[in-house]
Amino acid sequence: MQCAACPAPEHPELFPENDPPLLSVRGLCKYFGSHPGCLDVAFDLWPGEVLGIVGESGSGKTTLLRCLAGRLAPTSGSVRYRSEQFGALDLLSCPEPLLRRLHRTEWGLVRQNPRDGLRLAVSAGANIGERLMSLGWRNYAEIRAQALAWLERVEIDAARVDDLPLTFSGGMQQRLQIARNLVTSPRLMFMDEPTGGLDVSVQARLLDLLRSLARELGLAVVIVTHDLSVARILAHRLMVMRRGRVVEAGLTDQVLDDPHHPYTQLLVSSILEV
Amino acid sequence: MTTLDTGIRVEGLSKSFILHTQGGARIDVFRDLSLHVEAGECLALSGPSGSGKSTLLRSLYANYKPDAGRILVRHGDGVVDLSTAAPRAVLAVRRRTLGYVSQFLRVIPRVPALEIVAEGLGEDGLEREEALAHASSLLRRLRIGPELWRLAPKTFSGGEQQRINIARGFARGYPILLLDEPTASLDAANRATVVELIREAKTRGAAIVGIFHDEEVRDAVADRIFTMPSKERPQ
Ligand SMILES: Nc1ncnc2c1ncn2[C@@H]1O[C@H](COP(=O)(O)OP(=O)(O)OP(=O)(O)O)[C@@H](O)[C@H]1O
Ligand SMILES: Nc1ncnc2c1ncn2[C@@H]1O[C@H](COP(=O)(O)OP(=O)(O)OP(=O)(O)O)[C@@H](O)[C@H]1O
Ligand SMILES: [Mg+2]
Ligand SMILES: [Mg+2]
Repeated sequence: MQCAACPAPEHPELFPENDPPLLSVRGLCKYFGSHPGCLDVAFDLWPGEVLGIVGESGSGKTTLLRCLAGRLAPTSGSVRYRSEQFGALDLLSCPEPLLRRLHRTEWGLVRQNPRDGLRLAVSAGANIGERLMSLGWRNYAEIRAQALAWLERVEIDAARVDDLPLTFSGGMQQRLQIARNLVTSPRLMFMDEPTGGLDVSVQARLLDLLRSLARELGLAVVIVTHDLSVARILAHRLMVMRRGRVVEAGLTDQVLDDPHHPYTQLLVSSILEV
Repeated sequence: MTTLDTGIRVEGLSKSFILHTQGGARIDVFRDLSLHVEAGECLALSGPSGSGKSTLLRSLYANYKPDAGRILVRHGDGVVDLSTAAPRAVLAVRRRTLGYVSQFLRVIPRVPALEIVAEGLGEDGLEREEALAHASSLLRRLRIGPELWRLAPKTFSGGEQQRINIARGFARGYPILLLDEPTASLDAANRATVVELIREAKTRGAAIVGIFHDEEVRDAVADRIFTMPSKERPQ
């Protein structure tokens, strides 16, 4: 972005692209047999940045997210992550125990179906406490206090702390899943339709929470959503996927207000206002 | 070496839209357009409806992506070409350097009016208390009473929402300000306040590009007029 003849800028905070990215993805492909899941995806993600992924059903959004989070082995390509504890890592050659460790500490993964991301046999409080315990927390009162605080932040009545997740509505399960992930202050969250099934006011509160975590704590987020107004509010950048490929990417408001690809234009014009 | 003394310089800018959902229709809005605005100066864009004033302003904010040309802005001690800058760089420029007051407020659910105006004042070095005080005083000048400050503007009237938008744009000390009909839905008293705010911004050295349908407002604030070139008719 510097014009060619300009001297190097002196203030890195004004020219943030000079910092190293947190996540760096190149040429990522995933085939299921001969069926393409996602194809040739590339992007960089920096701390505090929210990347939105939109696109039609079956376009490869979940597949991409699971490859990024090390939950699905890509067919080819590279995913590099700059870990706080372990330095620069290539996730494709990263040993499984290390990946599991990252999942409990530096990362969060919010699944499209909350039942896939919760432990259904234990209480809401235990779901939130699980990551803390895996990090060595042993004081029951402290863990419970954290669980109660996080229930409140996602607007679940504290009285439900001992109930099983299956007694919760779908929207509450989704919020519980989010709380369970955020409790250890991850640096990077992968979220698959986190606002699906939430009513509008709860959704607004959740967006507020995520926005402030990104802004104040530098949380980076990759979020899959079919809701373009969610993308508009939350995402700094947007990738539009179709049939496994990223067909358009850029600044969120630019992609939504001045879409270039025929598919993006169709997507944007098929909703009333975003 | 490229230097830029002015606040913003546009060189050879072209913008068209191709409407794929409408049979690939092409709209050439403007071609090879150049302009510059000095610090402390206000340039008014003029031209008939549909001549591309808003499209030009949105391109300057990198909300629209031009087909060709450069948009050079001074940012800190460097120069950024917004037509090719990476998204993160554009956001950094918008955070520090480039403000935009659109015709309509885009409300974020549940965020109160006062927070909307105070947000980002930390970038100008204000502590939280100072930011709130500054935001309140602007809201007061724009005749938004304290009873509205804690409410999210979703339920506000069109004119009230527009004044929140104006307060947000003028609260910050942006070196460059883009204004798209900031007085469109305002009464005379509030229009006069906006004229004052624009003059104050010029005095502190802001470079301003604006669209003002109201001629009285335009005459009161504009130093120069940029007339949108009329469209070439297809043969
Ligand atoms: N485990 C799998 N085995 C075989 N094919 C799969 C598998 N998972 C996904 N696919 C296929 O890969 C493609 C992309 O699926 P994916 O779940 O990533 O889509 P998506 O964009 O998340 O869709 P949605 O918006 O409906 O959730 C689809 O054609 C899907 O059928
Ligand atoms: N996002 C867009 N997609 C497609 N066409 C657009 C878009 N934005 C503007 N245009 C077209 O560009 C042309 C110029 O519109 P623009 O809004 O810039 O005019 P204007 O000079 O601001 O007019 P007014 O005075 O009525 O506000 C119009 O033909 C308009 O339809
Ligand atoms: Mg999916
Ligand atoms: Mg206009």
